[in-house]
Amino acid sequence: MFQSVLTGAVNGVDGYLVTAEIDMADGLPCMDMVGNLGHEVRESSERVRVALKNIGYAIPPKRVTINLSPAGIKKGGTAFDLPIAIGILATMGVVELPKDEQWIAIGELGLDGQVRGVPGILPILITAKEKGIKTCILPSDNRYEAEYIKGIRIIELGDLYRLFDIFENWESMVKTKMSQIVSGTSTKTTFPDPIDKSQTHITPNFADIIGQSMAKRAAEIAAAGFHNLLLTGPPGTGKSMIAAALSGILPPMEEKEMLDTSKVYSVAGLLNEERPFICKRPFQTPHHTITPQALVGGGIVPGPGIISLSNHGVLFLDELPEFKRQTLDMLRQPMEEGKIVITRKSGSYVYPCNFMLVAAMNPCPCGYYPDKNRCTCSQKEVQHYISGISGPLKNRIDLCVNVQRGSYDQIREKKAEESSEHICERIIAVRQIQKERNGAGIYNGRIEAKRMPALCEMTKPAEKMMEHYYETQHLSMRGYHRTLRVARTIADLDGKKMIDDVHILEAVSYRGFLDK
Amino acid sequence: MTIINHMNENKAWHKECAYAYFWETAPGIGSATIEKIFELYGSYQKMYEALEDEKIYHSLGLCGKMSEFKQRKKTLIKNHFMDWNVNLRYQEMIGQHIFCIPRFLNGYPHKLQEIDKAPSALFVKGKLPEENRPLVAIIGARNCSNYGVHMAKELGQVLAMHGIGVVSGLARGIDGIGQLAALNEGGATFGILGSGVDVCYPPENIELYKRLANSENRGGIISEMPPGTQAEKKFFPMRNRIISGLADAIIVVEAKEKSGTFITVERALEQGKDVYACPGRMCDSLSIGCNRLISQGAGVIWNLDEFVQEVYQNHGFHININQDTTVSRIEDDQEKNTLPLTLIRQVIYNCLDYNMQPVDRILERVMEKHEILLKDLLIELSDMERLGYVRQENGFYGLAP
Repeated sequence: MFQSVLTGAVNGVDGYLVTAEIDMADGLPCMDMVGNLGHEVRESSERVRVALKNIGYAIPPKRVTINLSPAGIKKGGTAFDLPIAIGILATMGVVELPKDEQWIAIGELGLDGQVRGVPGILPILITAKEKGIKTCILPSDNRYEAEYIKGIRIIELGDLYRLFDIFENWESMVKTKMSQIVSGTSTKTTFPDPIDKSQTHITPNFADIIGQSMAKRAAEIAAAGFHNLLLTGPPGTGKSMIAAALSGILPPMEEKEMLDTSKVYSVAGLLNEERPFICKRPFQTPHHTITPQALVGGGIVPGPGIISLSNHGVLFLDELPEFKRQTLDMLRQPMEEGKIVITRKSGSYVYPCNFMLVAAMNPCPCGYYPDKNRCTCSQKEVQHYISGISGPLKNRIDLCVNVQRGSYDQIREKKAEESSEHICERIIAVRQIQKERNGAGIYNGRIEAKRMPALCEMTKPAEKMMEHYYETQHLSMRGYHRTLRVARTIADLDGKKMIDDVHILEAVSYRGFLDK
Repeated sequence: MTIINHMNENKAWHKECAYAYFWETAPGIGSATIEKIFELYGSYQKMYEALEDEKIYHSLGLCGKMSEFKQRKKTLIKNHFMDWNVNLRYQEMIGQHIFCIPRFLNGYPHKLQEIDKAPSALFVKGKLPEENRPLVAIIGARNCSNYGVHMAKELGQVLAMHGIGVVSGLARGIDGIGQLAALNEGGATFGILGSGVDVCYPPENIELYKRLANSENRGGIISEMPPGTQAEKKFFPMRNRIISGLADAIIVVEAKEKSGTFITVERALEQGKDVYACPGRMCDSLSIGCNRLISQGAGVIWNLDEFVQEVYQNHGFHININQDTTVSRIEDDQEKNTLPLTLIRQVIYNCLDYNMQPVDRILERVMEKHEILLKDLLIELSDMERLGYVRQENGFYGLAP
């Protein structure tokens, strides 16, 4: 007897459909699994056998062959347990599989028949929906993820024995409205409100940061145009706080951005009841001892790294010089391309990594440069320290500001500072301008060089100014483009269509030691 | 007397110098030894010839039963004797326009003869300072502030204008700036190196080095190390005694509380030279050293003209401004705008200092007098920097020196 059950798997962050083919024939009793399978997939046979026995359906002593097609692609994970169990039950004649509509089943089985959650549900559902699948049977643990996919019916399953109920009542289940979860809790038809109070981690508000006007202005420009920012300064001046507050003034995520990032989290197995979906921009702060694989992705079983988990959000590298040069160098290409490709013998895995880089560091070993009164380092020591950051990384930073200790007067005066919400309004307006001019999803910080003449038009005085700086500061081509992009954002914040010389003048103040 | 004269006339002098060069490069033989042996033989050539027999080794203390160390020393000297072709090596050196001026011959600066542990020989590329011209040393911190830069420049210029030579260590910071300013003003300046005269250290001052060594006939590079010696930390305190030895007066422009500059000051005091310092603000860490020197009795430079007069009075030289010293000034690179500053820029300018300050503090100070947004302040500062009024370093702004 032959049966097939549709299921799904993930490659990188994209789902693809897999057909589980089950055949039962006469012969020596055994269970063979084929289809380029990883270890844990092969173990499915054991889990399925015992689970089925424990719900009262021992597999007959026949030769069972299971194929997971397409047979050439390497498959991993434990999500195939459930579809295989269903297929076997069908070949045994215990259940009758619905034939009128396309449906898929995904899930891991415990030995007692419990259905367990698996990572990667979100991308699989997205693909399934595209391919015309109407229903998906998945583990209860994963239903939170599924709530945000419109247009596909979810049947959640906690125990294997409930399967019989489902197949018997399939007709009536199918008649229920789309995108409703059958075993009854909430139904969500829209994406959640991004300023969702239930999801606040303690993001500082700019109103709580005293003084630091230049750093705040730089943060605003960085957030508005998605530019990379470097904060330098002595310890304890609030660099980390400003970086964290920055994540609070980023504009709300667009639908596509939410989906993109949620897919990554799903694949990493990080979506759960508290956080079923990513609707707030991620803010990742890896410790400087992080390994290259954990940062960038990879590992024996390839998975997304921190840079992908900060997709459409902020990657904050505190104490930048403490990171190993080797680790930082791995950021180069992903930053350039917005994605990371991990190659293995079994194939390539592509993870997105469109993050905004914010970094903090001391400008010299003692931390006080360029305050000559307090800096005890020689010029050579300063140069050496700064050159320790990888050159290519320095090249990809757009803004560099120094954060200094405020005066006591500032603390005493308790002047009213602008709140994050207020700043965010300006940023949302500027993001809109960018969308209209550059195209959807292309922020000023990511404008390609070839589009710059069209999108970054300058007035004559501005052109002369840029020429002057190109010559006197010995800007590289990259430095030139980065300065111009920052000027573009400053002009947008100023409500001007063409970039004027004042915008260039301001943009240049944020070069810090990037051109040294 | 200049080296050029020697070149054409005195062959005997050159011969002696060639042998002196041999002794300067001999491993394990220092100034004290050379002095001792010279007293015995009276001529570098005779000292050399005495190496043929064992007698000289007796004077060197390398005879009889020797420790391994002494044996090695003797072997090294013997090898040097074998390998070193006196004439060829000397011609090579002269070919690079480097001269060896041994202590016990004509041409060695009289001022250095007087000092404690005088160098046994000087190597010169260019000229030696003239005996009857006053010479002042401008020294100070390597990592100086804008004020230091400004004062070193002014001092170098003014001294050169009055025909007073400037001597220093060609180092980063104050030293190099003072020397460059003097050179640009058409004056004479001499750099004493802690490496061989053919090694430019620090590399940043290569332009200054080239001008002194090659083209302009108004200065020179001097060292007590033979050509080819690389710069090493231990050579620098030693060369400081030569700076103070050649100078008639020492000026310390800027120095932190603990500074290498004080080594030179100590030497100067031992040699009985006048020490002056530029006063500064109490809160500036780079002026603490100078202010302390003043409290300990150093002269205060509070007025450049008065200082120049004092130098002449104390060192009994005639004011002798030759035509040479009024050569053209080098044009300023940055074109300072001759138009008056706008009102807001005047306010900003007045809130700036030679000391670099972070933008936030400047913003506070400007806001006391005139409303301004941060971004507009940044715009004005950037423009003023472009025009040459302001200097910027990683978010700190100050007056351009």
